[in-house]
Amino acid sequence: MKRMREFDDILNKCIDRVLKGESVEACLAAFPEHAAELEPLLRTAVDTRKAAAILPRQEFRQRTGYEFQAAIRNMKPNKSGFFRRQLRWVTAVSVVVVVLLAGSGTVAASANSMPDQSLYGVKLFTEEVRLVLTSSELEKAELYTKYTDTRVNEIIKMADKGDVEQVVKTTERMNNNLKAIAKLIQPVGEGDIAAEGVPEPLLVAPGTAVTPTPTPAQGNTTAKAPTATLKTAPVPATAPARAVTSNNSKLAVTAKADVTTKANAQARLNTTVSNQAVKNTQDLQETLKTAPDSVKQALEKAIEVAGKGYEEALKNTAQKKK
Amino acid sequence: MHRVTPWLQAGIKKSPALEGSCQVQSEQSLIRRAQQRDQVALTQLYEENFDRIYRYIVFKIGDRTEAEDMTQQVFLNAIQSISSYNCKGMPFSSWLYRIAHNQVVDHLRRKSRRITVPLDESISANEDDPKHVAEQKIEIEEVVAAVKGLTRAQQEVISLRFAGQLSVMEVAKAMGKSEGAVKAMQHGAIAALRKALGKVGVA
Repeated sequence: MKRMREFDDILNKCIDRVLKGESVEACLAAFPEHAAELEPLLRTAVDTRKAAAILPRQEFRQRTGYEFQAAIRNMKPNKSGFFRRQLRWVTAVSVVVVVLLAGSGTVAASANSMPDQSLYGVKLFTEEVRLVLTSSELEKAELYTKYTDTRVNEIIKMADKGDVEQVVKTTERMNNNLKAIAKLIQPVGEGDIAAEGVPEPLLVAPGTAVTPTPTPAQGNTTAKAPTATLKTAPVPATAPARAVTSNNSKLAVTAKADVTTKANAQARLNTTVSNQAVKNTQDLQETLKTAPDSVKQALEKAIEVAGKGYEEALKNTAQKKK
Repeated sequence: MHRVTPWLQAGIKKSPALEGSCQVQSEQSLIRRAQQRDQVALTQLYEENFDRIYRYIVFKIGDRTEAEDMTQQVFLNAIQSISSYNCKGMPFSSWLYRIAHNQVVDHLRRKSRRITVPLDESISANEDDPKHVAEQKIEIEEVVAAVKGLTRAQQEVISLRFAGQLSVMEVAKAMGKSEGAVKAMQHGAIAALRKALGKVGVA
């Protein structure tokens, strides 16, 4: 009995080593007096280890990761303090580096995917990861601005294809992004750029059913598209129209960053949002002229949502500026 | 329909003697943050356990598509109930495998059809040689079929040790057995596999 227990222990030690990738021979050399008894069992253990080394499909891994993130978001996480926020940031880097390294090929391949394609979930997940990793409100707003631009392009592509369902879903995602921009840049007090009211990145899982709000009745499908009443924010003479991501990383270092830098970054964001508002609304209206009739109602809704969303965001940037 | 206590289906009982060990402090801290719904902590736990849970499930049920759905459900269930997890009861990995085990048992109870193993997904990465891949597929098929011939408790030990890559201590906690009992079951299971695979000279 005692001998059997001892052998069970030795066998277990060898299995641990085999599971870690060590060779059978190395284990046998460590326990020569049991080698004859151990060898056939360890060979079987190696076969079993090989049979159990089943890898999940990369696409499944990415999709599930995205849906897991969405589920976490729905849990309404507790607010965290400054130190916890820093710890989260550090840990997030290690987690996401793993995620990105594991699926870098898929992530790259997903960058240009459209809502009706299988890799689109990966694209949204990648956006989500970047938002999680971004601690500065201003940088988050810039990312949301960029992603809104992406959503508009997707709406146009989907409208061209006559895919009403995807136009509606993508409009909802665009609307979420615009709401996030408005919330992130809403005035929260003089000079305060990083403390209160940070909305978590918004997630709409691919395939999630979206219930659009009723569209105003249209007499016919060629009726005039809703016109957005956009106020273009003043553009600083030196601010390049779309250079939004290059120099802002310094802002994330501390909430007490240089006031001038913050003002410049804010001004650049205003410029980007206002330029994008005009251009994207025009692009959507242009698309409406040539889009299939079946998709026009959804597209008009998208134009209306874009108009209101950009207007709200610009209103907040204007108030913040005062 | 009554709720099954899944671990008991494999003839396994909880042992009070196994109470008491928590994880190392870093993991405890991670789990505490996860219990406070910290997104990064939850993501880290997910990343650390995802492949292992998937392997465990697919090894047990042999159906890739079903295993994918069930793996997803395990993690959704886990984040819903993580606040009730107490490290003094068992290691986190053991707790997670209990959730996975419940999923598997529920699945097998619903579907009694014969299992087929997704061989195309069973081969590890970096295998370019078609002949070698084909041979490996046959070997895997044989092993999985042999595992089905084990007792339920032995199957559980093999699945948790080889697919889930749990330590004997974690397996013992998950199954409510002593480490000595798990080691003995492991020995018996491998010896039985050896026989089933037709290789003479069993220990």
